[in-house]
Amino acid sequence: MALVAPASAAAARRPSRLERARRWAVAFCRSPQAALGALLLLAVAIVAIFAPWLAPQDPYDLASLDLMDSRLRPGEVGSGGMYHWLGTDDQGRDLWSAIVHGLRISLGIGLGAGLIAALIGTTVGVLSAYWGGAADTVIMRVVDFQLSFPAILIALVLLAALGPGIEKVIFALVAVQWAYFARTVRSTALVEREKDYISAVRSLGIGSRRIVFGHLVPNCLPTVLVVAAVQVANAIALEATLSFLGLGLPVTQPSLGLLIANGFQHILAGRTWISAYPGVALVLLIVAINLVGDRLRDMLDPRSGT
Amino acid sequence: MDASSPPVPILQLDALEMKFVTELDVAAKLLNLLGARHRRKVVHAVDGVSLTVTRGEVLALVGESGCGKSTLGRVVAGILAATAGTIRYDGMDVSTMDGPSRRRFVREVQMIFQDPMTSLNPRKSVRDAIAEAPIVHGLLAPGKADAFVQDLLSRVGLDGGYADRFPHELSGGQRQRVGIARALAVRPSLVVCDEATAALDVWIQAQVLNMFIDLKDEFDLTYLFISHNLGAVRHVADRVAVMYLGRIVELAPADALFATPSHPYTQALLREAPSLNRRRDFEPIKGEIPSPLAPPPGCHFHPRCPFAVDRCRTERPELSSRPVGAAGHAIACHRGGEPELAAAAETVTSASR
Ligand SMILES: Nc1ncnc2c1ncn2[C@@H]1O[C@H](COP(=O)(O)OP(=O)(O)OP(=O)(O)O)[C@@H](O)[C@H]1O
Ligand code: SF4
Ligand SMILES: [Mg+2]
Repeated sequence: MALVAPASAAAARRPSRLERARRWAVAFCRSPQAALGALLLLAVAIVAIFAPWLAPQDPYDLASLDLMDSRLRPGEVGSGGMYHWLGTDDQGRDLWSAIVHGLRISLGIGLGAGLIAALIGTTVGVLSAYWGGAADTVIMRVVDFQLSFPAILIALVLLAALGPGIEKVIFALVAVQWAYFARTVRSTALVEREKDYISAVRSLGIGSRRIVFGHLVPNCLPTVLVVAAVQVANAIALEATLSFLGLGLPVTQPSLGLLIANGFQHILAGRTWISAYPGVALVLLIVAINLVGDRLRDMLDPRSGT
Repeated sequence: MDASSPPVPILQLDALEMKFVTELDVAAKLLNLLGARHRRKVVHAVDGVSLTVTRGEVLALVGESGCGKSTLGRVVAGILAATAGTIRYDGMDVSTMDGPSRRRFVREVQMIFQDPMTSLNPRKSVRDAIAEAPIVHGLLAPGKADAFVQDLLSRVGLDGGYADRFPHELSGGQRQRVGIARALAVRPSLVVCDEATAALDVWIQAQVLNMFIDLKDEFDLTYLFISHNLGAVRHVADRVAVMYLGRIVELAPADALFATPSHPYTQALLREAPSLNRRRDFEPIKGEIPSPLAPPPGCHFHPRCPFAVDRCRTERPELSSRPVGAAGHAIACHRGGEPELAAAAETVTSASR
């Protein structure tokens, strides 16, 4: 009597990958804010990817700028007959073009720094949890020590020493952010490590490397994703702050932070648009990432039951 | 070795100990400098266990929650490293094994876990869960994984269509079957079943239990069968070891244990489960289970034992077959063999009939 199949084969077929992805997307959009955020993010991504085709002007090509066109109001037409619907900055740069390229830089830096920090932080966090003992203690002391300083302070010090430049900004952001990944991922990995499936693979004689990268890391990925959403948004804000303070990107590669800084001196003179439009773009970008990130956390949190 | 000598036991445990030490954190250490008395916590989960398991038998391990059954099982399965004592597998000391013999030991001793929710990796399909280890061990060519998995699934009573499923798409009983197939995939000899049916519905429990019996013959298995369920134990076990706070207090052939339970703790256990045929889990015996952090000295059971005398409070009783007078039936009790205990055994067994 023992070996009866408890269910029929027909019941055992599972939906295709596409179908599951579709269901997941529908569940995601059950939150209107998250759907809005995702839409916005999609729009920003398209803008960032196709920036050179969407922007009427190359804002990095100083030769194409004309000081005659500086500080035009939104909607004015410049000397070359170009319609500046968001106005121009004090070097005669078309603001829309600058914002489009600025979004590209901001998003690129945020994603780049977030991805590298996630890789480093996840590896360190999972290994720390897996090894335990003295190695774990030392690693976590370093993380705690670093996290006891404000992120902006560490980044400022690093950039003051390194000078401006995209790679240097990314380096500084990674140096700041890996620790957040390491700490959060470690606590997830500690929980996973104690589960019986890890005991099972151990008793099956599967090697440590496979246990860590084949079993522990994949089960920590939801945590990584949630932290990543927050940290990408933070990286973008941090880069904008650093650039605003003149420590981030060089003037020749205007990111959103630098555009805001450039316009700042004109605000009292009533030329608010030079700062305001890049500011709006920055806020929209960060809000969109956070909306999506919040929804991801809700959906991936095992306690939420979705 | 001549033909009359007994075969080498598959597993021999000698004075096995497992201590869990929780070290003090920095704050507690600082407070200690200021005069506080925080101590590091030591749980003696397995406290000098000596056992022999012969090839082909089912040895059941019973005892209340927290007495160290799972810990003993995990040590045997190589998931935890014992803090003292020796484990011999097939006559060889496990701690001195290397290379091929170690790999063989690791592979041939497998464990089936209590909680089907956590014993499968939620991100691996049934196929990957079953095929991973045999591929790693070189027992299975990756190209042949499909047929291999189908075959194993059918042996644990699952349709082959389940190979593509993930754990969250399975019921508890189905997951447990996958866990069993995963263990069988590496051709084990000794399987530690840690309350492998406890989390299942009664009907499914019976099915899985019967499957264990069938698989034992089919795969030539030896079981260390950990259970709360005395009915199940009576159904499957050849011998029974009763554990209390990290120590074995009674060890006997299953029939003998249920006919003449000779240790006061075993008697109390059986009295709490009067009708074994109804497969009821036993309930805690009168009196607190002492904390494993501070077990009572002497015989651990003395605060709850109706027969306790002064000697029980100071001296640890050794496991011995002398008091009972039947071969293979041992208890750890200073008053073993006294008429009072024998009379108590009589009342337990007559009540259960
Ligand atoms: N990793 C660990 N760290 C510290 N203490 C532990 C650890 N694992 C088990 N213990 C302790 O060891 C003792 C025995 O635990 P164990 O899980 O072996 O008991 P058990 O007999 O299997 O109980 P149950 O029937 O509830 O499963 C308990 O006091 C438990 O708290
Ligand atoms: S040794 Fe003493 S306390 Fe322990 S079970 Fe025997 S009689 Fe009871
Ligand atoms: Mg247990």
